[in-house]
Amino acid sequence: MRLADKQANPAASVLGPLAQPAVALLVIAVAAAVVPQYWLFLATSVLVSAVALLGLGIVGRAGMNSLCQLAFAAVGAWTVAQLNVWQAPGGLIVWTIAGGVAAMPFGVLIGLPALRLRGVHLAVVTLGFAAAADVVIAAVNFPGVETFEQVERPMFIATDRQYFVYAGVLFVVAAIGVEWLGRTRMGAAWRAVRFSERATAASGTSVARAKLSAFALSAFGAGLAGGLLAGQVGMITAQNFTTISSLALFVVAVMAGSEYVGGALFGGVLIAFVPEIFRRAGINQDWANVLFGVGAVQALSQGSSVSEGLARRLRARRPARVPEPRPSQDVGAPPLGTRPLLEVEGLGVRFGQVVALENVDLVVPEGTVMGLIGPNGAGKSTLTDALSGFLTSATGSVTLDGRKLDGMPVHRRAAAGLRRTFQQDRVPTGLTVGAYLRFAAHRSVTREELEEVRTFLGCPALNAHVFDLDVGSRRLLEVAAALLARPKLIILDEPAAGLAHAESLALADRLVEVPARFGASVLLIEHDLDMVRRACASVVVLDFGSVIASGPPAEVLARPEVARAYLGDEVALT
Amino acid sequence: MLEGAIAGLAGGGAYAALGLCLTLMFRLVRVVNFAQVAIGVIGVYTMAIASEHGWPYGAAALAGLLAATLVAAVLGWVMGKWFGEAGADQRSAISIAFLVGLLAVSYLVFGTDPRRMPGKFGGSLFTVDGITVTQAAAVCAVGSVVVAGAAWLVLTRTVLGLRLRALSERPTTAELHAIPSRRLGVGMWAVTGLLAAAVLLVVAPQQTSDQTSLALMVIPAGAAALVGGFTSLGRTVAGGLGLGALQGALAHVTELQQYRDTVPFLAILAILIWSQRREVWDAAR
Repeated sequence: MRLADKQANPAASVLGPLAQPAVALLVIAVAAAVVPQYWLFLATSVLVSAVALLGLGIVGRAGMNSLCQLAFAAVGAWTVAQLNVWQAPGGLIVWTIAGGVAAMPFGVLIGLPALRLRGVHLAVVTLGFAAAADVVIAAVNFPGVETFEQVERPMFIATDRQYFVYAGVLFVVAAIGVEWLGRTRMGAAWRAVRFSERATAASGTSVARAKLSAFALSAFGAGLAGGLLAGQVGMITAQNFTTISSLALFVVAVMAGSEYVGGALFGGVLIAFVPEIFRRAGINQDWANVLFGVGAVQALSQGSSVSEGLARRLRARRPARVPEPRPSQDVGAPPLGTRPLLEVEGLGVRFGQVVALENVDLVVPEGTVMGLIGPNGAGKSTLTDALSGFLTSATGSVTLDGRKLDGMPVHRRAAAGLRRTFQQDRVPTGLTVGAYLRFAAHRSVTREELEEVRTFLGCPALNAHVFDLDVGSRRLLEVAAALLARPKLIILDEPAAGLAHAESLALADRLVEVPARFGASVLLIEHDLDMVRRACASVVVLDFGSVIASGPPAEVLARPEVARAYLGDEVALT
Repeated sequence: MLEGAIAGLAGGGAYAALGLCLTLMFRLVRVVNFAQVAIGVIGVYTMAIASEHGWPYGAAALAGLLAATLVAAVLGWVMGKWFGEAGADQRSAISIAFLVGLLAVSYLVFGTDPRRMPGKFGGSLFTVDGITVTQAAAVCAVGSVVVAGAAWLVLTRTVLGLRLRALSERPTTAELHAIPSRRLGVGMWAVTGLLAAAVLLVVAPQQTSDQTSLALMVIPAGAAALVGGFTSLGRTVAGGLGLGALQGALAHVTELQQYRDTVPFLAILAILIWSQRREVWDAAR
């Protein structure tokens, strides 16, 4: 498979992931040699904006709107100006990096409200911050402005031509950094947070850390851009960082798609060159912002930015091939298990006056598959939420493998070995199958392990995009990801919803094998009783928030009180 | 201090009235309209240009109101046509694009030079104990209360209000009951655009502001709307007046004077964090 990929694209295999940066550096070197100085200055402005947009793209990946990117840039510029006045050691390059670092705490500060605020509310906060920063900058002014102290450049980047090369290298390094981060678990966590915070936490990743890291790194990018600008123009003023410029930057980011390196660069080109082209054509430069506004509205009406549309088209949209299900074979019944793994005592959940769960006692033994059934509204999903830590108001105690889970946040419980899946589709669409599995595994896994789990459950190929998968495949993928994390217990909340009957039974056969193959017990919540009969060694029935029966499936399902819970009194009595 | 607070009521009344526009828009057409005040800016600058051309104030003001209403209706039509099904987040992002575009249009049409703004409410209304209440402050403060009352009456006592509420709470169900969603949406944009222009006609002549800083009055207006959680009209008015009074009072504290415009941000932050403190997760389940 990998070999085939390499043969299909020999150029990529020779240069590897360094091909694009190498080409970019070559373009920069050639441009520095041949392009007239005036245009090179503009091109440097392109790179400054592009670095700021790269940063904006990071919060964009995490699904958050930041309208104060230039306020962070102002912090970077201010730092450089101050270090310049102090003549701090290290010179401009070190100062610029210091500017990026100095902006990070501000990013975290704005990220903190984002732990509770989303969408429109977060946008209002960031806009408020941008306006407040405007006020403060106007009041304190930039260091060295009153004494006309230019920011000093080191000898080797003293000319505008050399400075352009420096800005180019900085952009390439920042772009490599962003791309690399995007491939790490942190980068996957950003995309996961955008899609579903609950699913992110349930796969063992702290939502707070994901959001704060996105904001901090975004501010770092902005701070770098501010420092870069300070070095470029020598003397900075509040005019460079107005609220409305921050808004324009956001609008361009929406239009161009700053989550992509190419999009950030394209956005930089738009910001620097469109007004210039208008000016040369004798058209008022204010038309540029009209154009950006229209472009952003157009991008939003298409549901994708320029870069995203291009990327999707290049990906040759074809539905991912779903492998043939393995033929059904009799795998026997799973062992009952003896040693208790999960012990639940007196679990209760109330929503106001409604009692959702009352005094639930439950023991899931090690190495088994246990079914949890009950009519709609019986409290099955509430139980799942309570066990996985989403309901902090739950009373009673939960112990996993001798370790108390009470009071632990969701991602810690997942790390302690309790994994769950969701009834709704919660697989982040921005990732490939392989990237999602690696992210959700929450440990380093080999490609062989990925392939093993993938073929075990019959998921699509690792390079398929989740976006292209049907709902059934996504459900299986979620189960595969949970298995890959090697949990002690895996709670599956209606994994067969969206699967055809034959597929559900095939999944039941796979689940029977799970305890022996992956060392995890399974608590299966399911309405499909055929599947429950086939997969489970024992069954617990929940009705109106209480356990009403438990034991072997055939015996439990035959009991009159279970039939009554499902079908109502009249049917059960006849 | 008290004098400052009362002087701040002019701004506070404007924040309250503009905040009402935002609240009504969010409640009824699911958008935090960042371009709300920019629409008013188009109106007030149209008025300024018209009166520079020798139009009498009444006619010029009418032309300004008309221009703002028209611009708002066009934007509302665009929103309804292409983003009828979009969520509040996406619609609000679009309104940011509207804001940036509208400001640029305003600079193109009206130029960047400062304009003389003829106004009607410049004088003082009365003076008690050395504290002067300006006409603008009175008009804004009383006006915002009147507008809130009128909006409340329309929403709760008329068929139109019932339709609007139905549309905002269950858009699809409302459409199935033959309520013309797009036309009502455009109407809402037009009415709030008219209101924003009217507010600016009162306050813009009192301050020396350019288009951008006028348009960014949407930030304190947003803070006022947040006090009401983008739903309560009464609390929005209270929030706007309170914010204005606070800013006015701070103007009299020498150490904080130059930072008084950061008050909206701090207010926004405090209100939001308090009101959303239980919103730990993005989805209910």
